[in-house]
Amino acid sequence: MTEFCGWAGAVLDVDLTSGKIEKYPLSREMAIKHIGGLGFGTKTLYDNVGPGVDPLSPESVFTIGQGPLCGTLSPAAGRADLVAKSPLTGIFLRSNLGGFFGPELKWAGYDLIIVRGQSPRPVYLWIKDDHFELRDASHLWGKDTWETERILRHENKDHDIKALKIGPAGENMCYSSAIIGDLARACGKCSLAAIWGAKRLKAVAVRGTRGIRIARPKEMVALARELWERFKEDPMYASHSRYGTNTWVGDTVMKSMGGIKPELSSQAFEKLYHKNISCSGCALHCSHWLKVKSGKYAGTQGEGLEGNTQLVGFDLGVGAEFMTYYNNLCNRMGLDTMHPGAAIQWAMSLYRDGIITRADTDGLELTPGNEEALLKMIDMIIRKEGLGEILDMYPVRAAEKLGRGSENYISHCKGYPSPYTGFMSSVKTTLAHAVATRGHDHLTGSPGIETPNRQPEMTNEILERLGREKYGDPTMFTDISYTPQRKYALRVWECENYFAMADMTGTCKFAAREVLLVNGIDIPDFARLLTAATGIEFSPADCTRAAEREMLLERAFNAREGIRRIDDYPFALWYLKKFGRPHPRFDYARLKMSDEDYGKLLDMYYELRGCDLATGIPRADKLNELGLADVAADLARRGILPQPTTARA
Amino acid sequence: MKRLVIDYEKCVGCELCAMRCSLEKTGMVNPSRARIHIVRVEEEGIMMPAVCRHCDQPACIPACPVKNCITRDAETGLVSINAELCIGCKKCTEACPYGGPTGVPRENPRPKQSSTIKVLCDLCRGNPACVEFCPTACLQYTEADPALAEREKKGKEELATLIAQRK
Repeated sequence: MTEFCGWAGAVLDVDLTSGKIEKYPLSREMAIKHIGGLGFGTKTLYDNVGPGVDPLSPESVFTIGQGPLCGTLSPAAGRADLVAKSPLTGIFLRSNLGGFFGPELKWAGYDLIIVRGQSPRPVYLWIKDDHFELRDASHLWGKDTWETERILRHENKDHDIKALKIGPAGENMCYSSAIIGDLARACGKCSLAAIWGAKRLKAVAVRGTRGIRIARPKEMVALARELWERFKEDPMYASHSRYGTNTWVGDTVMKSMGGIKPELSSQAFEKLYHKNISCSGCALHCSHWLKVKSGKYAGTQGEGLEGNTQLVGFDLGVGAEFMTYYNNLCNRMGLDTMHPGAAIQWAMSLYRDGIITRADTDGLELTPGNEEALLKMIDMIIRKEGLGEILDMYPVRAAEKLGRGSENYISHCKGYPSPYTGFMSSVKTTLAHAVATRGHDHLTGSPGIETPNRQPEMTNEILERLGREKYGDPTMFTDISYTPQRKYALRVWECENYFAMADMTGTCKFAAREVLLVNGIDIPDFARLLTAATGIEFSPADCTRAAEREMLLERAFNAREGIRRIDDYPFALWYLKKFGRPHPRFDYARLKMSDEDYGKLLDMYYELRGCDLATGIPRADKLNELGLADVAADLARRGILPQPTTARA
Repeated sequence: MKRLVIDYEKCVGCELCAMRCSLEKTGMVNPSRARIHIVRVEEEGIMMPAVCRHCDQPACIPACPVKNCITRDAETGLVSINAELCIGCKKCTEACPYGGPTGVPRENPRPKQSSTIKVLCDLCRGNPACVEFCPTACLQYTEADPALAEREKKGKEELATLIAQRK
C-alpha cells in the first residue's frame, strides 16, 4: 500500500527490447518537484534522451503520465500527458489527451510509464492493477484503432478496458500519425505515434480497480462543489458547455481568417449534435456525439469535433458533414487531423500556382472542395505513397524533398507547421505561439481572451473589471496594440504557468482561467486542490515555482537540442534572420510590429522566464533557484550555458 | 415518497456519479466499487447509468439461492443484500435487467466465506451523494414525476436490452 494520497505511488519502466518491466515506487522528491503527468515526463526525458538520440531509434524514450488530481473528483481532471523527443521537429514533444485513459491508469495504481527500446515484434502493454506484461499484438497489427479496441475488450472479457492505440498511420511511422485514446481522443501533435510504430508498440491497455485515496475527502468534495458552482457563473460557461471549441476556437479564428463560413460554423455543427458528452470527471460536457442524417455522409456518427479540426475545413473548402467523416477516419486510422490538413492545404497552393501538376498528384485535382481527392490524398499519406510521402513530411523536409520553390510556401516555428507567416491576431498570441516549446502551438501558453475577434460574451466591461481586480489595470485585457509592453509578456508567462499546472496535475485547460475567463481554475485553486488530494500543503507560490521549473526544464531540453533565441520569432522575422534576406512571398510592410519591437517584447518574456537575453537559454541562477542545479551543471558541461549577459546579440 | 429517478437521455457519461458514490461508500475514488456505473456502447454514443432501481417486484429476490439474503422493505421500498448471508454467487446480477448489483471485496472475510459479495445502492440513507454531482439532472432524488416517468421507462427498456446483449 502506497504512502501517497492523490498520487498512485508507482512507476513502470518498460524495456521493449528485452521485454522486461520493472515496477518501483514513486519518489517523494519527484512528486513534490515535478508534480505529475507532464512534469514526470519532462524530467524523465531530460535524464534519458540526449542530443544525438534519433527519436525513432531504440534509444528513444517516451513517457505516459497522469497527475495527482487525475481521477480524484477534482474538477475536469481526466487528462494524461505523453512526452518524448519529436520525430518531426527533433525537439521537446508533449501531447495530452482527455477521455477516460488517465483516470483508469490512476485507479490501476501507476503515475508514470516509461517506455524504452524497440520490440522485435508487435506487442501491446497490458496492465490490470498489480499485473502487467507485454503481450503479442501480431493479430492487432494492421487493424484500425476502433477494431483494435473491440478485440482487446473481447479477448480480455472486459468492456471497461481503456486503451491508447496506434492505427495503420502510426504503424507506418507517419509524421501525421496520432495515438488514439478511447475512440476519439488523440495525442496528435508532433508525431509521437510514429515513435510507437518504430518501437512496434500497438497499444497500452489498462484496467484499474484499486482506486485512489484522497487525503482530505470532505475538503475535496467541498472544493469540487464550490468550483463547479463558480464555473457556472462564468460569462463563457453557457457557450463552452453547449458548443465546446466550435465557437471558442472554430468561429473565433474563422473571423480572423476572413469570416465565418456558414457550412463550417458552430451552427452547422449544432445541426449534427445528437447530444453533449463529457470526459471522465467533468461536468462541462463540451464534447459532442455527432450524427450525420442526410447527404453524402449520412450514417456517419462519432465523437467530435474539436475547434482546430473544424478549422482544417476552412482552406480545404469543405463543410461540417465532410469534416465529421474526416474526423472519424483520422480517429480510426490513428491520424492527426491538423497535420495532414496543413500539408494538403500547402499542396493545394502549389497546385493552384502550377508548382505541382496532375502528374505529381496521380491525376488528382487538388482544389478546394474536391472531397474525393482529399480522401485519396489522406490514404496516400497513410501509405506514404507518391505525393503522400512528401506531404507526410510537411513542412521542412517536405519542401526540401520537393524543391521547385515549394519551400517559399511553407511557414513554421521550430519545424512545427504554422499557418501564419507574419503576426497573428494579437501580439500576445503571436509571442505565445513563437516561444512555445513544442513548436508553433496554442496550448503551451497562448492567452485565450485577448483577440479582436473574441466572443460577444467577453464584453469590454467584464474585461476591464477583470483587469482592475486582478492586476490593478483595466486595460490589461482590452489593450491589444502591437507594442512591446511588459504586461503582454506577463500574460504569456502566466498562461504558460497555469497551463503547465493543468498538464502536471491532469486537469483540462478548458476549465482553467484562460478559457473560463473570470471563474476558471487558477493557481490558488490548484494549490487548494493539490492539498486536498495529497495532504501535502501546497501554496500558490509552490505551484508557480513548480510551473516555472517545468517551463525552464522544457527550455533547457530544447537548448540542448540547439534551439536558440532566433527560433522564438514568428516565421517572417525568423526567415529574415536565418537567411539574411526577406521572405520572397511576404510583404514586410504588412508586419504589425517591427523586428526591434518584437525583440524588446521577447526580452521581457526572457526576463520573466529566467532566460539569457542573447541566446534564450535558461540562466544558471534561475535554474539553481528552481532546484535544477543538475540541469545547470549538465548544460555547463556541454558548453551550452552562457555567461550572464544583459545585451542581445 | 422520494426515489432515485433517472432521465437516461441526459447522461453525458462523465461518471461523476460513480466517482462520488465510491468515495462515499468505500472512502476511495474507485468507480469499479461504486453502486452506480455507466454502461457504454462507445461506437454508438450510448451511455447510461446502471444502478439498483429498487423494483416493486425485484428479479433478484427469487434468483438468490439464500433465503432472506435479498429483501425489500415494504415501507421504504428499498431492496438490500445482507452482506453476512451473501455467498457471492452472482445470480442476482444474472437476473437483474438493470445492472444493479456491484461486486466488491468482502471486508474481514471469515473462513469459508466468499471473498467477494454483491452490494446494492442504498440511496445513502436519504441523501444520495451521486445526485448532487450529476451535471445534467439525469439523476434526481424526487417524488414521482409523470413527465419523467415515460422517459425513464423507455430508458430502462433500452438499458435492459443492452445488458441482456452483454450477458
